[in-house]
Amino acid sequence: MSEFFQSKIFKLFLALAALIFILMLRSSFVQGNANFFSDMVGMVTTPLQKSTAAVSESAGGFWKRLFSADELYEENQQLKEQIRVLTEQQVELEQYRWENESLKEFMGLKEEHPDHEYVMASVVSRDPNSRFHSFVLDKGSLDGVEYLDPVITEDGLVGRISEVGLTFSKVTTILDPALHVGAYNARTRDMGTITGRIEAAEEGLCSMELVSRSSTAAKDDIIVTAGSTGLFPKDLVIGRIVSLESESDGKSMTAMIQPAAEVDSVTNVLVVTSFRGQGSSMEQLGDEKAEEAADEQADEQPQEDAE
Amino acid sequence: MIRETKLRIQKMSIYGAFLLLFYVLQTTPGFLTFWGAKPLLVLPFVICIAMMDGELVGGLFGLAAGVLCDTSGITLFGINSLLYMAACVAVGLLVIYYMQPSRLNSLIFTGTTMVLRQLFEYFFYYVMWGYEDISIILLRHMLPTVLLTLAVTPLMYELVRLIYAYYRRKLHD
Repeated sequence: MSEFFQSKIFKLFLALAALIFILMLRSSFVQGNANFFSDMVGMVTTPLQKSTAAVSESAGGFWKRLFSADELYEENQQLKEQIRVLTEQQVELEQYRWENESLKEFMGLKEEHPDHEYVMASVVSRDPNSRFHSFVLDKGSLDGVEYLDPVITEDGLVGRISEVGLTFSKVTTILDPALHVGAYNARTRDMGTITGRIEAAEEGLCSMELVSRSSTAAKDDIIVTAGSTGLFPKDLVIGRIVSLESESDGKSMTAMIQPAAEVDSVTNVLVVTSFRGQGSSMEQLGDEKAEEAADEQADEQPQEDAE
Repeated sequence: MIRETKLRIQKMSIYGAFLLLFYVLQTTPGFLTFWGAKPLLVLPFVICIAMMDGELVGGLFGLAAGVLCDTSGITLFGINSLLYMAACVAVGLLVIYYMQPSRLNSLIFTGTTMVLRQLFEYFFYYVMWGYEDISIILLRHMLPTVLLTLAVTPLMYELVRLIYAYYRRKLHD
């Protein structure tokens, strides 16, 4: 055995280990960007994974239909679509109600809709060692995807990009305890933080923490993104409250949320590559609005003087 | 000599093709998923290569398998690469000096590497951060993954043994 440690093979493996260690250090300091090795591997494996994922999806669909009566399946699809539409309508109604109530306060402010830009992507791999249903997409920086871009489906928020390679990107889902999303209750306007909990993730749920004790939040309330950190667009549907519980400190409550998107089985997603307020915090947005208001006042002043 | 080199290259290419195939299969969404867990296919495969072909070939395939797993995994890039490479070199050396290549030993080597890898992740990604209910990760995710990986290990051992025996016969002809 001792001759191995004096051999060239040992020195070769030592050099390789040193190289990997340097790449490890680089990855831990430069978060979000895949290294050269990953990019090369991704370029070879992503097209293969895309094909097998498509085959697996078709096969899965085949067995699903085979074991469930066609009529029931159709009905199920229709009901799902109906629920999605109703959820959207409910969010819209809550939004209109809130807008009506606060119209006087905000009158004069020009309503601006966020300008979202999307990249459509498919889920190509789910690693056996990945927890909380994280997955890999077939789109990377060559397609305009960037680190921390939000990932959504037509139903709601799924997660965000946690690493980008040239032709692939990794997604951390909202079921992961490492992810925190500013959110609010569409009905009561209570703010909170969406994050994952290990036990809840087993049931496909995430939690909304730091909800005020005085909140009137209730089951089936819809939770949407607050957009306060500049990491997620405002008003993206996250999910529905399924239960509420008091925290042990007695100062706040935690709501368990059923995500609107099917995080564990999603196959196609949209990556939001650009939206209004991206990368800017609430304070910055506030400053921008203040500046806009000041500009408007300055514009109006000469007119008043003239009158 | 040229024939020997050709046969060796051919064997390595077959190992490489199988490694890629197993990687694609293990990461295919929905494929081989039992109770929410999936087996690792590439790890037992490279461990068996190290048992048959020694520490050099085994270590290099271990590194390749680790890089593949790092590309699709959530852990820091390099953890799987370093661990798989070190494990395969150790397995190669153990088989050369102390142990025999056998189905039981393939299970012991794969099981030990898997347990080490899972415990490393468990400690650095969950225990250290103080998350609640982390035993769920250990019992409902990591343990089934280890068991499922052990279940496919004998198949990998037979596959690698067949390839190795075929080329050894050819080399002796």
